[in-house]
Amino acid sequence: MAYDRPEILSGQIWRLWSGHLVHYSPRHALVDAGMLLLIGLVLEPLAGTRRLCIGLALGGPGIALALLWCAPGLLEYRGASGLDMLMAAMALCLLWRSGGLSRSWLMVLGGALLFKTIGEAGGIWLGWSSLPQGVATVWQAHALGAACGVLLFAGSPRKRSSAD
Amino acid sequence: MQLFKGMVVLALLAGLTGCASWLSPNSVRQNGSVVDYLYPNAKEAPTLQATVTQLRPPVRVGVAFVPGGSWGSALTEEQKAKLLERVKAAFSRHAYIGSIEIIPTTYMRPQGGFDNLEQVARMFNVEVVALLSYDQVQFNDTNALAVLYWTVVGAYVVRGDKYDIQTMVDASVFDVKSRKLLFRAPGSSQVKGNATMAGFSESSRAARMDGYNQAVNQLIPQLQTELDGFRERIKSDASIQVANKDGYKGGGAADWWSLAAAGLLAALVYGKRRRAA
Repeated sequence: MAYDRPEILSGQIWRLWSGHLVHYSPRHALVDAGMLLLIGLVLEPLAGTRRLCIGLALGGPGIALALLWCAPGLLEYRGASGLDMLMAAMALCLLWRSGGLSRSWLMVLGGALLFKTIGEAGGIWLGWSSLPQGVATVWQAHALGAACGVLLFAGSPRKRSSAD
Repeated sequence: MQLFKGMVVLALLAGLTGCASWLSPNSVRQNGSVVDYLYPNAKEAPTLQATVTQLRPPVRVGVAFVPGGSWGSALTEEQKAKLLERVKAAFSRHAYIGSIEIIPTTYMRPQGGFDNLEQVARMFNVEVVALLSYDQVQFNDTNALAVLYWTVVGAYVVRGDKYDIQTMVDASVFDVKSRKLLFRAPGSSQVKGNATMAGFSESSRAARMDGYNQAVNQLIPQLQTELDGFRERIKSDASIQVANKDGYKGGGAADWWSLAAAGLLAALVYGKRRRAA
């Protein structure tokens, strides 16, 4: 079920979705699920259930396909943090547009996510990772997830307010 | 006098019809042997040592022609590069194969042995090398139409010379560090044709290249099959260990810090919604 590069290239395309659902350890799954839940509570009222589901259904394989291209040395991948970043980016963009939170807070949180991803790319150990030893953090998945989230936001129409 | 003239004409006829065999030898052979390259001074069989071959996918592979043993070469460097590109394309379809480097023959020292192979592998940063050895024999003959060469014009229009070119190409894949043969695959071809005496050289040269192309056409699917078989074999072969490179296994994981930030975001938004409600 995990993202497995050779198996995907040989035709097992369901791994483009299922790779985001499986994890290396219960702790890994717990942290990712917690992120999905917390961000989902923020995002679903903003984007709507249907749009959120479509975004996840498209974003998951989009992230995996991009990993095939930009991370050829990655043979196995598990975890939902790519989807976490997709939802986080989408939520921050929607909150910015709707004014649902002060922009100062949004800039702080967005900047922190950006700083974290850059730190992972630079190999800076930020600590508190939920991955087991020997498994590297795939920063590309986080960056791609955030990019997918921004694209989904850009492609989504403004929600009409009740006054319209 | 008549007898003398007749003898001169007969002698000329015999000489002209034999021109084709004077101009080109009956057989021409070009070969490059992997055994001659890797074991140049072997007087007895090499002793096999029990070693464990470690493969670390994605594996970096080099492909090269074995340097030819005879003077000159059947193929130019450009022609070799084109053939190697086709072999490279066949390897690149496999996800366990990382980068593939084409190694020009100029870097391969004739009878260089494993020492030369290791030098080249270090230079091109490859772990496994696929060595292509070749053996091509061209048989030249004349057919009955060659008698018309005596007309001089016949040398340009009559296809009285024929060639039979038999080619064998063999790809042997070696792990450089353990010097172990991992697997091999052969390909062969036979190209027959005929040409005029004047155009024989050009026609046979094109046919030799065609012979190589056809042999490589047969080699590539055999190579794919052997590679697939090798992948299955190593699962039960204790002498080959597969240890993936660092970074091959990764996870998308939110850390506790990110979880805290998400919690903060949710709390802020929830608070604002409650105030607005």
